[in-house]
Amino acid sequence: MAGPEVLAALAGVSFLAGLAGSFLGVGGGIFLVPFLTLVLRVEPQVAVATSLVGVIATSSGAASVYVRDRITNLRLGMLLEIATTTGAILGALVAIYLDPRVLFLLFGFASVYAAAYMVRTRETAKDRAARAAPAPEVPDRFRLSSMYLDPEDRALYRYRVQRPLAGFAASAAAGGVSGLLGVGGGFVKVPVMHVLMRVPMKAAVATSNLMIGVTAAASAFIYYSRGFLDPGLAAMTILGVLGGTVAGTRLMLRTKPNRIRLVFASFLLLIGALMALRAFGVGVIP
Amino acid sequence: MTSAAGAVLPRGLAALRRVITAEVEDINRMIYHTLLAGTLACVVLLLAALAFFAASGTAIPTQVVDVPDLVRGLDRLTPAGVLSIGLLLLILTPMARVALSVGYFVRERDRTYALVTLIVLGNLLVGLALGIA
Repeated sequence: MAGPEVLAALAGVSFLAGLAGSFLGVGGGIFLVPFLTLVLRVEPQVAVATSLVGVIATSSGAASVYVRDRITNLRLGMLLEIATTTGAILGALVAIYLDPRVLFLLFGFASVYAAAYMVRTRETAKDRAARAAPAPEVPDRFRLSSMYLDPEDRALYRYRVQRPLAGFAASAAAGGVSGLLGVGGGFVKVPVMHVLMRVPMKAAVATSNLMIGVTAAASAFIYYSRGFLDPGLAAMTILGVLGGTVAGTRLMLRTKPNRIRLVFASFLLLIGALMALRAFGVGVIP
Repeated sequence: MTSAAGAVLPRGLAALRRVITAEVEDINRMIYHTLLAGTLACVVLLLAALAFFAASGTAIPTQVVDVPDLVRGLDRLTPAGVLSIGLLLLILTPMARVALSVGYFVRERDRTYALVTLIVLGNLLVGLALGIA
């Protein structure tokens, strides 16, 4: 069992992971796993199990705030959860037949592409509202159109979700990769919703935060049943992460969407670099 | 005041919140309460267990208590058991959210989303079955 100073350090890092995760719509496992394996020298499977409960804490902590404030597009989240959970199952099943290096390169490339898009095109207020385009590509059978209140500029934005079919397919691929690589996949879900489906950045972040909890919960339960969860490490991670989400959600609500996009783009570049390193055999991420 | 969305809107954040709450009245309230209750219950149990271990000077266990053992031993709960139940509550909260959503949409006679959430729930159970097997 780890000593008190180790637990305190873990709680501190978890706080930062929860803050970043709730601000960006990701789980924060990308920060937790390297800290656990490289700094605390925890076994990889225990590290992943600990990170998974951290992802759930980020999701529940952040999503409760965003759902309460009506930032989350619940219908969109639930519809895409079909794609991500199906993809995750298939991904886990075919994992043994694929060369992970190809996937890491592919996702490294996709991350850098999405980052470039986010840096190049600014999201204006007009953009966010104009997404209420009059003619949707497919009838809005799933009633995905929604609106949200941005407390930062005190404006209501009504938007329509574009390209639902393409977004669904991309989410299935994202779910497949999270099943293959064992990651939550928030870094894929946010760009899919924002760049491809033209959901405003804040709504994409909030909706992704809701979705990541579900897939992480199924995996976490399996790790729990197999005895890989260390209760002390898990408890400190959860408490730290939840504290971080209190700060992170407030920060996100008050930040201009373009700032969030820039931070997200930097985050994607980091992911892209880690994926590329992993493809060439330098494993910071499992 | 006219927003970028072109709608005439009341001033003030509180008034805007009422507009958005009235417009986007979905299952937000139920999901919010589910996530909050699950998270808070987890935090209370974790803190209670950690406080016990700190006060008694005993080491925090490095293994969780198995689910079958937990169910059998519910009548004589140990601090280790409370710690494990806290972790399980957190893990089960997102799944409970999906299950409760199915019930909500069935009650609302929203066939499309009752089916959508049911498929998600089915996928979760398949994933669990595959993972445990």
